[in-house]
Amino acid sequence: MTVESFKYDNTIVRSFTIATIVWGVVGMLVGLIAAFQLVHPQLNLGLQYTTFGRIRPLHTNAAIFAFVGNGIFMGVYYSMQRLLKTRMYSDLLSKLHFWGWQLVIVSAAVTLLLGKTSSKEYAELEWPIDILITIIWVIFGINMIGTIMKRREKHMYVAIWFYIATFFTVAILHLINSFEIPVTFLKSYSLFAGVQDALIQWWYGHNAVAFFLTTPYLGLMYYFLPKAANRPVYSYRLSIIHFWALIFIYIWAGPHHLLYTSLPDWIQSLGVVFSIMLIAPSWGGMLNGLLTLRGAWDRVREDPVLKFLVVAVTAYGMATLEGPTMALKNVNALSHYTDWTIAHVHVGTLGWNGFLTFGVLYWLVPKLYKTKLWSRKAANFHFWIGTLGILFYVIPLYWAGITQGLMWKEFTADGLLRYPNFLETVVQILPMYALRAVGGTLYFTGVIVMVVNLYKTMSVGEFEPETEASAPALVKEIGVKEKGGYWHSWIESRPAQFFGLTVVAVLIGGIIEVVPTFLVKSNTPTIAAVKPYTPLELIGRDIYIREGCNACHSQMIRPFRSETERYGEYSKSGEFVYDHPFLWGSKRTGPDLHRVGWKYPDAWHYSHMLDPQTMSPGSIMPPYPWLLTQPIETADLSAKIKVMQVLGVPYPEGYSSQAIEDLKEQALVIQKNLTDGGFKTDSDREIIALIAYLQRLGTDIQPKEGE
Amino acid sequence: MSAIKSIMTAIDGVAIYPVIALFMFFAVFILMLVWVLRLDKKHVEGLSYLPFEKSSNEEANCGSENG
Repeated sequence: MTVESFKYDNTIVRSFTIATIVWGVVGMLVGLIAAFQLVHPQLNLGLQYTTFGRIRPLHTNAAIFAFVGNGIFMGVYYSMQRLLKTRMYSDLLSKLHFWGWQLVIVSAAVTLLLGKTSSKEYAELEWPIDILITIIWVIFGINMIGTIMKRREKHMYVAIWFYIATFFTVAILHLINSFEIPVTFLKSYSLFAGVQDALIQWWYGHNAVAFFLTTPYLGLMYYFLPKAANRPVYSYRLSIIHFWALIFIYIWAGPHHLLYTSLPDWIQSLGVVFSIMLIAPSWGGMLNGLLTLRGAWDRVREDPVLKFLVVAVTAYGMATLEGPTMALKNVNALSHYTDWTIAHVHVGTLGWNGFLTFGVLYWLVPKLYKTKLWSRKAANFHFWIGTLGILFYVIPLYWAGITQGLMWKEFTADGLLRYPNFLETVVQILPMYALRAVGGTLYFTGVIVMVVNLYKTMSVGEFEPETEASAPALVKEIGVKEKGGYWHSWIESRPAQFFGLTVVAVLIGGIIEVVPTFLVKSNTPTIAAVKPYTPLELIGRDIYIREGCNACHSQMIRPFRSETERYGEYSKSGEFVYDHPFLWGSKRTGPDLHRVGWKYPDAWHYSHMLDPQTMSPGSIMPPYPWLLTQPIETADLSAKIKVMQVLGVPYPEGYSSQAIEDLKEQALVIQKNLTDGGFKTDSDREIIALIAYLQRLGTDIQPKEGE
Repeated sequence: MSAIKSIMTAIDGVAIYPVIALFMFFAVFILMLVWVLRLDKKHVEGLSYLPFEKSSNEEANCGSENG
């Protein structure tokens, strides 16, 4: 048996390490600004580029794809080479992957601030960036599979399985959720509409959490936790069960994001059942992680790396128990649209993703630089202030979420809403928002301390670009029956077959859930009264999307008395058939807008957009004065109409050329209403289009005047 | 595509899907469980030591203490 010498590539690991740190700081800083804006809306400094609706998606994208994304690649490139005893397949692909991913991030940051967004949560990026992501992801995949193929270790460790499942599932999710038809270079409309679009989006959104924030990090956990604790994983069998059960169940659970909406009931139930089942593998994994430390708990007291990893794994356990709880319909009735969801997400991101990343960084950077961590004391300080930060972040938000949820539902003895004014319920929780911002500041302070600590470590040590290693070449054993050669040892040494099985597991969930909704007509009853948007309304809708209004306002009234009393008739699936994309939203920082049409006169909206505080004293909505001055963009109107026609929206043939006339005509009516209300404005301002859209919302199924 | 679409459109009782799904999941889960439990103990232990590279110079004495 010949022993081969080779070198692990540390340079690519270092690149991703630095990117993780830099984007972590940026993403969290943006989050912090957003948190302070919720208390002081004027913190957007009067700029349209920094309003909450635009920086909220910037924060989520930066945290998920820039911070955690680079963190995944950092861990994968380090562990994969060592687990498979080989250098990465291609240094060139590694570099292309790295720089391509950074390009995606920078393009995302620029376009999101400019308001170029598809509006779909965690998939906001417009179509050219979607294509770029696809290319980079394929490069990553080729590099990963190539590395597996040229490995010197016959068996694939469980971490590798998690990486493979991540690669394939993210590819599928991204492709399907990005089906959109381009209108211009940075504008597209989703191929799907209304209920279908919502289902696809939350099938994606849920699984982005599952397969971007969870499975790759579980892979990292199964590698770095044993390494840091210096002992193998507690139960390898349990890790196998964890893996298969997780990927099989996760893919089904998406509909729990749409409980009590217009989604067909059977799909909602499916989402609930599978969400509950998720507890088992998740807790199996958590216990497996914690029990790996059996006999090493004395070291946890001293070693900051282990401290971070322990809290990370515990946070994983908390979040995966809380998630299924929130997926119960009775709990969801209260928790949905409130800050409870935000608290839940941050247990996962701050605790699980953040702390696991920090633990890995504190372990990895000294290794790469062949030195000791510059200051263990500083790392311990980071640990404590970070933990305190998480508590100060989530506890106030749980309080806020439950308080507001209860206030929305409270009735007086006479059967009237106790808090009919939505704003009352917002003002009530503002102190909690302030405390949350304090929690974020604590957490961020810890991160800055880490940056200094790691920088000092890097400057003290000497970077080792390549690590020498040697291993026997992998010999193909034909016809040799392996000891203990049951199904799994067969599978784990055959990546292609393994990949095939993973694909099957993931696809079954997707197909059974999604396909029938598309094709079975009875799932989306059509309503004759629902008509396509007028050209002016369509333009207004695009402004609504650009400003990210759906970050704070839902358009989905659930069939509860507390909601129908407050907002009006509950939302029907047939009302959304021309909504490319759907705009149901997932959080009510402000009230639902699905039936806002004709609730207020045009002039009310005009003053409200100019300065929300004049119409709603105490409101935390930022002013939108630029809407009153910027002219409506009509150059691409006919292209928009044409794309809508391709998507099946029944505009009359040739309508794209006359749409502009209809637009002008409708704008004049609104201009006159505003003049009557005491506001002089040109008829070609964006505010006119936005008012047209808002006044249309939810009016299709209401009896018209005089009927 | 239109042929598939027309067949799918005609599906009756789509509510049976979750039940089928549940059964499929359970079948796969039980099979997997049986396989995992039948794995050879020594083999599994060997797998769990894969992160510790005995052939390289980085770590040689892993898992020896208390383990």
